[in-house]
Amino acid sequence: MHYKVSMDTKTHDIIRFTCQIMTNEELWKAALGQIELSLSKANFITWFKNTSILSRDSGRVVVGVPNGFAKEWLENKYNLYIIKALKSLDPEIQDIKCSITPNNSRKFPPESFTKSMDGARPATNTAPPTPSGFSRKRITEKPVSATQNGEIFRSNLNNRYTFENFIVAENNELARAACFAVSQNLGHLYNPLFIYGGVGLGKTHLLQALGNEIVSKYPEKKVKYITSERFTSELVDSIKSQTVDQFKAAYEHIDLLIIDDVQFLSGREKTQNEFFHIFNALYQLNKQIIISSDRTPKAIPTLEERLRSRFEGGMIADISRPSLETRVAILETKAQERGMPIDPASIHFIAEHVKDNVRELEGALARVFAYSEFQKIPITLPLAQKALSDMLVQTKKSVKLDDIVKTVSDFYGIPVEEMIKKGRKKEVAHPRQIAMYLLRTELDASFSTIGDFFGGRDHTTVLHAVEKVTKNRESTLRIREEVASIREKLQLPVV
Amino acid sequence: MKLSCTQENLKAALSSLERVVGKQGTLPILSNILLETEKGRLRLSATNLEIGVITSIGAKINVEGRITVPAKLLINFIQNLALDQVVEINQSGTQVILQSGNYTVKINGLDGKDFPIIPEKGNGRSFSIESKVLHLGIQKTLFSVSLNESRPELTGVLMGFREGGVFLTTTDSFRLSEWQMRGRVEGDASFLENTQSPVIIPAYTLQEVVKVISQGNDLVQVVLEENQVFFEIGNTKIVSRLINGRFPEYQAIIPKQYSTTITLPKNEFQRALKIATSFSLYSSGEVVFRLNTEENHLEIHSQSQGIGEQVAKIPFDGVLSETMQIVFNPRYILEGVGALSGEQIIMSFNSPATPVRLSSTEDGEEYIYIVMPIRK
Repeated sequence: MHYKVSMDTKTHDIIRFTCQIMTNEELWKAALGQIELSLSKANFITWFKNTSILSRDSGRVVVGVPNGFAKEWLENKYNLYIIKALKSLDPEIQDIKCSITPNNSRKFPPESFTKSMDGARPATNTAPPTPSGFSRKRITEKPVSATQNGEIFRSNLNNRYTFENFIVAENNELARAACFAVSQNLGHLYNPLFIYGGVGLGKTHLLQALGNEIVSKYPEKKVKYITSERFTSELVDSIKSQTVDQFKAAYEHIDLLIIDDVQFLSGREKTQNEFFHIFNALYQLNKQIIISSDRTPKAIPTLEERLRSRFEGGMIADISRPSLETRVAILETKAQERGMPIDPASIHFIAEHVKDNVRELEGALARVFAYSEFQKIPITLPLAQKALSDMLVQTKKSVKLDDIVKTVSDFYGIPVEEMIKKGRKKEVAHPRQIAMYLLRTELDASFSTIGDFFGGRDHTTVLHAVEKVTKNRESTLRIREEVASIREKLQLPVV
Repeated sequence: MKLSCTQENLKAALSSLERVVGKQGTLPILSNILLETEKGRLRLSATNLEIGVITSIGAKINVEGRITVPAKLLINFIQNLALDQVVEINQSGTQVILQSGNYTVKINGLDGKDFPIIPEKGNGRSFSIESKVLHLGIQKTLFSVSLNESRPELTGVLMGFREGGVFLTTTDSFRLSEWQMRGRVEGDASFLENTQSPVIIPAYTLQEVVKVISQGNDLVQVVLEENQVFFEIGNTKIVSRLINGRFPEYQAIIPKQYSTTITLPKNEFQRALKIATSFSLYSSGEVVFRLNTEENHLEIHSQSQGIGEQVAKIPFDGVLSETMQIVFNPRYILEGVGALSGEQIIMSFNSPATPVRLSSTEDGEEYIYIVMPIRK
């Protein structure tokens, strides 16, 4: 099946319409989404972190950047990318300008220093505050926010997630049953409980549902939900302010600790070490620990052996990809929640085409709803097809060898025959190498197959080409851009 | 690029860039140093995107060029060369060949055009100050900045203007130091008095500045633009962001007068504080200062359960109005004493719950260092 984005007037109107209602924040988010595709991750993160649109006025957009370096770089090097991305969202935008707005521009409460300057007590102090002199805010102003009592026992739970609205199916039955059983018998049944499964399949939902269940059932229990990334950064903060002991002590008072996405601990030795001690302390006290990850403990690289063996010591349950029936059930439930009528054929269409990820499934449904609301026509199969057309092109498309060679040939304006022929002129050799690189990375074609295609070249020639492009992609902006735009033409994700 | 310069000059330039080079950033080029030829000189730049440093040295340029080289390799090579050697730098593609005496290295670099553009000063407001004056001012205040990132405005140094002079202030909310800089100022710095947002310079920027500036009479130019500050010292330029925030209204908490003032010998005082610190470390980090009207010495006492205790008696000059017991974190006192000039330390206070001031005759009224006691 092959869907193509057809920009008829109606869709165009919708795009225009969405632009008008887009806030600066949404516009910038959408633009960043596009810019991200044409840059390397390192560049994107370095230069676009903490940026925002400050104002938009008669075709000129002022972008707020955190420092002078970003200002120079965005204005001089990336201006064309930014303008292109913004223009595609709002054709009126012609020009950008950057202005430095430090990221810590949060509002400062107009407090007087007499209140904020604190007693010169070291951080362990908990003596009752006195209203004289410098401070009345002693405890609340203490250095590490992470280890303050109030903060650490904030459970971080989102009460939107419950067991009731979790759709049970054969792909998640085991995991759901395990979580439910744990919620009935905290700390004794399966400890630790390790849940793994792919992105967007409901790990977080299950974990949070369990947490919420405990909070509502036993309000006195201390529940903490935290992602391993957040855990790491809190630990780092506490190391900086020399309050690691308090950090650890606070964790050791928890009754139910839920660590989400534990695979991010991979390679962080110090964090793993501290986590190990917290884990042990809780385990010995029969406190419940629940861990989630996108893969099995064995498959997490550079996870310390002792942690791995402990993760494997409890119960391991997986969540796999939902079957077609499950996907239909999910869509029906979601549609019901929103109170939107949708016909079975459309549901079936969405379920058939979005396979891997429940989050994408919901996204697709939302898109169909939005489309129908804009056009003010009820949802039918053709409407659903149209609404999802460009989304599906991206997910459906698989490239063929001929497509890649043709696209590269078009891109550089060198006929395919020329690329196959012998001849090492630079204007031919370079496109040939790029084509070889893409064939290798996209199709995983063997070096000799690629060599054969290009007029019986030796496999080492191909190997050299692939290595050269891989290396140059990292070091040379131009090569990176070329590869990115060819991939874009092939409708491949531009990494 | 093809040029030659002396090892000595190159080494000096690299040492002022060394600490600015990005550490484990996401962008690999940040751990490189940019070498480029400019108007018959060799210009070197480094940045970690928080602060940027540019410096230039004399060189004999044969072919112009622009290339970045991994800082570590370059610095290591240059530092290990004998003094008074000439270094030849040759660029071939993205490779840099350095040759000096018996030694040749080839280093793989990255294209210079991918290196961040370090902002240059525009037409901001500026003044110049003698470098030794700035040097002293930074030394007197930098140590009491806050290390706690949750209040960013306290992690920097406030630069302000009062009574015809530039002053620097830092506080971590437990103690505060302010130094009114005395010395030659060229240009009008009075705009610092009524800028819309206070000028708060990140502590690490001034750490770099203090390393680059000499203690001589030459002038340091300070240029302020929106959210950025530029320091220009001879051939070296430093640019940094400013910290955005409101510095606390600290004037109100500095006591106008003190009921009691005593003078202590600096050496003895420091010795006692160091001993006390080693005991207080085990407990809550508290040290008790006892002042008895019957006696003419200051008793410094600290103890730790299960470890032991310590008492020091230091004679002082001055008259006590009442018997008093004040609790301190000894580190704050010790650091303040260390920053004061002269052999005698003056300690002024009102009560066990109000700020205590440390001063010396040598530093006079220009230096204010106050510490908040721990209240019991």
